[in-house]
Amino acid sequence: MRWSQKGSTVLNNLRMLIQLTNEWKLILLVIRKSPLTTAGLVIVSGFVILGIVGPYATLHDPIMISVTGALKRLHPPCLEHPFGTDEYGRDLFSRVLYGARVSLVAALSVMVIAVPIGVLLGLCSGYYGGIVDEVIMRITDIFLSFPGLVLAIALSASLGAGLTSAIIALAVVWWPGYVRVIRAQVLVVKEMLFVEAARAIGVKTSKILFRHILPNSITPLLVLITFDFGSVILANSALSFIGLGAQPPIPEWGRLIADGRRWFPDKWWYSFFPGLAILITVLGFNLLGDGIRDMMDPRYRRSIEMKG
Amino acid sequence: MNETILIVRNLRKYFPVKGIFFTKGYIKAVDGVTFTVLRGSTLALVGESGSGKSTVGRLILRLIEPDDGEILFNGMNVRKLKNTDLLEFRRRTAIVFQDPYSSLNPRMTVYNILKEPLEAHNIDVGDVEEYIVSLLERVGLGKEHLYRFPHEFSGGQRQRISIARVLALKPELIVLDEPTSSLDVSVQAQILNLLKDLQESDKLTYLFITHDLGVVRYIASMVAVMYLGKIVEIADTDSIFSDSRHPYTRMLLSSIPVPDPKVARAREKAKLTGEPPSPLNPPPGCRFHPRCPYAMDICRKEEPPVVEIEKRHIVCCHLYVRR
Amino acid sequence: MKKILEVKDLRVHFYTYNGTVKAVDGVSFEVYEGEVLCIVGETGCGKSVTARAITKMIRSPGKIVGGRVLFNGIDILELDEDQLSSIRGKTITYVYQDPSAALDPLYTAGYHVAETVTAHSVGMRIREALRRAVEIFHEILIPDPENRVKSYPHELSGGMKQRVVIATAVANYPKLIIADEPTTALDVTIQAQILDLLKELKGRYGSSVVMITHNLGVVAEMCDRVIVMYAGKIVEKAHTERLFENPLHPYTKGLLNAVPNPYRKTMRLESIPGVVPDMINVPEGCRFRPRCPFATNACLIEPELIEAEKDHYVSCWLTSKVGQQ
Repeated sequence: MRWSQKGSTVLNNLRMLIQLTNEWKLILLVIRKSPLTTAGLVIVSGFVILGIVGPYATLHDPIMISVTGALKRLHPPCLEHPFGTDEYGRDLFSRVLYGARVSLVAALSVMVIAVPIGVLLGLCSGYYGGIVDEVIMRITDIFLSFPGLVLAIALSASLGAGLTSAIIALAVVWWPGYVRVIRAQVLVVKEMLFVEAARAIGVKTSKILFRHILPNSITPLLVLITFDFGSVILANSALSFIGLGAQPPIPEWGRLIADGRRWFPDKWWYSFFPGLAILITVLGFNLLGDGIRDMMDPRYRRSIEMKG
Repeated sequence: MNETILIVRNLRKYFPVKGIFFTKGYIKAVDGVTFTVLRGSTLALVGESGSGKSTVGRLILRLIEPDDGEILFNGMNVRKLKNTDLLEFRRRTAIVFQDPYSSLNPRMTVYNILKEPLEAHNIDVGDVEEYIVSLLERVGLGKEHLYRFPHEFSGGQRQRISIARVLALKPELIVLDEPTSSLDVSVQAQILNLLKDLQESDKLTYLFITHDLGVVRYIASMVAVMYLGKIVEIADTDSIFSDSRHPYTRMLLSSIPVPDPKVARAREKAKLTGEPPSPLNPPPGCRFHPRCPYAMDICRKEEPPVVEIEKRHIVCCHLYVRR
Repeated sequence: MKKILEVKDLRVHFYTYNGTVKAVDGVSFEVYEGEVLCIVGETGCGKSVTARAITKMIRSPGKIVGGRVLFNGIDILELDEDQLSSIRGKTITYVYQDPSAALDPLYTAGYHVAETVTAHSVGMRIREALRRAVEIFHEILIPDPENRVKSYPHELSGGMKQRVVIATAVANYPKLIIADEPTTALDVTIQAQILDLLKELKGRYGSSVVMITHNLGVVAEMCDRVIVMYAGKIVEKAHTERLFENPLHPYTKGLLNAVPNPYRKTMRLESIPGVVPDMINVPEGCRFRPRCPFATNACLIEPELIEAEKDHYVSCWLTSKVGQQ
């Protein structure tokens, strides 16, 4: 590649970036206007940061049972143990922090598996239509006609308890939603003239799908991913609660609640704090999802732009 | 000059209308259309909404598959093209759409939009950026527009970008589907002039689809008037305006508001009645008979034959059948 | 002739994220009884906003920031919502561009008309109003009015829908009908029918018509007087014949030359170079200056609308200098 060409590609990418920062300005504006979205963003980024650095920042080992710890079994919240301790004397604060990582890993893995499958099938289904569409959509319908959690429980149980099988089970339950959303969006975008223009030029179908249709269908996908992050965390905790999913001694929020039930309500902190963690995290993702949806809605966006 | 570039014979396309369980019927969008286009000329396809004129444009480029009929482009049978031949056909033909707001991908820069056709056909033009800038300059834009996004341009400028995209592959035949009808008059004049200049310099052939007879008069060399999926009259532009024969063509001509109050108020107007019926159930016989002031019994029963009034002037109407 | 409406120095601003758009910036005109006045101009010149501002129908982020709209001696812009709704739909009515959007798909054509009638006549029942709807349909040449009142919008063609919209507009014998691009969405043969209808209505109901359009052909067919707007201001105002015979403003001239005339073979259309200005950073002085072939330094000062010949107003330094000499 000659220099001038390279130079222009760099410039081109730079422009794309500038465009992105323009969008960022607007996003910041929306955030300023909506405190709830900001709250959601704070919670979600807090969750992600804790998920990454949390386990390294704890004062007490979240997993190992120590001799000194064993003396402080089921200790109520105090300065040293803000969330109290469990029946082996482990610090619940550390365990809940570690649980953030488990939830983050689970939710991310489910998305990494489910989203590409859903997007690919949705693209094909919407673009080709006809028999391809029929087959993909009917299979999707079958999956969607089961209660999601029940299917996940059945799958996870048959694969054997463990985080990996929980992730696989949840991914199997989650992809059909993406097929639906992407397909609906593709049906709209493929009627746009730039798609027809690309066909008339002779652009290959795969390029039309990934360069023209997908980038213009991304908005609702983003919203759904945000909402689903919360839902997957919840579902994963539900699996752990009934004994599937992550196994002890790994602390998982749902599992912690289940374990704490034995001492409830006397030793309320055992179940209370993991429950609170789930509540706040899921709420955070939902608030952020609502915010993103509003931001992407042209009407709402315009009203913000106008009032500025 | 008199070489034909495109021959269309008996082109047909019915769109099924789906009910809940069965196909309820067919919209006869294009129902037996025949015409030829000479290299370097402009054929205007004129008609109202629902006449099937846009469908004809898309059928010819095989953006929609025809049900029946023959399309010959430079002697090639377009309906039989496959793979590389089809790709080569796509290179030699092009289309410009009406709506400049939806015909450019909002997430691509002008540079990427104009590079796409080159990539699709693996065309080596040497310095890509230089080539793209030269395209932009030809349509009256410049280097400073290279890395902008479509939303930063006005409607007229977007239409210029669409034209540049089409020019990238040096096509021979361009279908222009109402390219100026969503633009303001002052901008429309700019685009029409640009199209005229490009036609002259590049020896382009245009199939110009429009409902605006003023534009037709300005740009077309021949005119085909469509009504409900059929061509009712074809003639040289001057004969259409001075010596139109089909009652529908005349009705169309007398309906255009003329930008001159003296002419507008003095001229005699054909009495206008009725509206175009639905193409789902076109009337039997001549499709225009319910609105035609000269309708005879035969018009209600038999489809009108093709009558050659003079050389290069064809009309489909029972009035002109010699008995 | 009697003035029925007088707009004085109307100003409408839109407050956007990027800055203030002065969509209408000091527009004054009057409407006489029984006339058809056209406001012509390109996209974004402020013609539609002007039309809406006449009955204060400007929604946020737009705001009427100045001017008066005098109708029968009262300033409409001073009225509250209750008083306004007794004017809208009765004495001043609207016909919009898209008839499909103007009709509610859940109600019949007749109901739309009957609704406007009952809204402004105390104690009238909907059944009586429906009878009135049949009469109006008959008057505006809708074929088979008894059955047509029972049709739902989706059963009607575009032209027929626009007739129904016009029926609701004339139902209460308005003094003024404001038609905003009433034929733009229609086919030419239907457009011609609707224009004929509007012309007839003027005589039958004695209403004045303010017609907003971008189509100079429609202006020539329909209008008694014309206002040419550019970038939020009036650049020329004249009787239709005079404007087409002797356009004075370079923009008007350019516009007239840019329309391809179907009745004349033109070798080359004259186009106006450049694009409509960005309404946030409008050019200093005359707003047409950057596109004007005759622009001089004088044009850096904004010209006023002056009477160049009888009843023919123009806002351009070229003409005012000629006038002075």
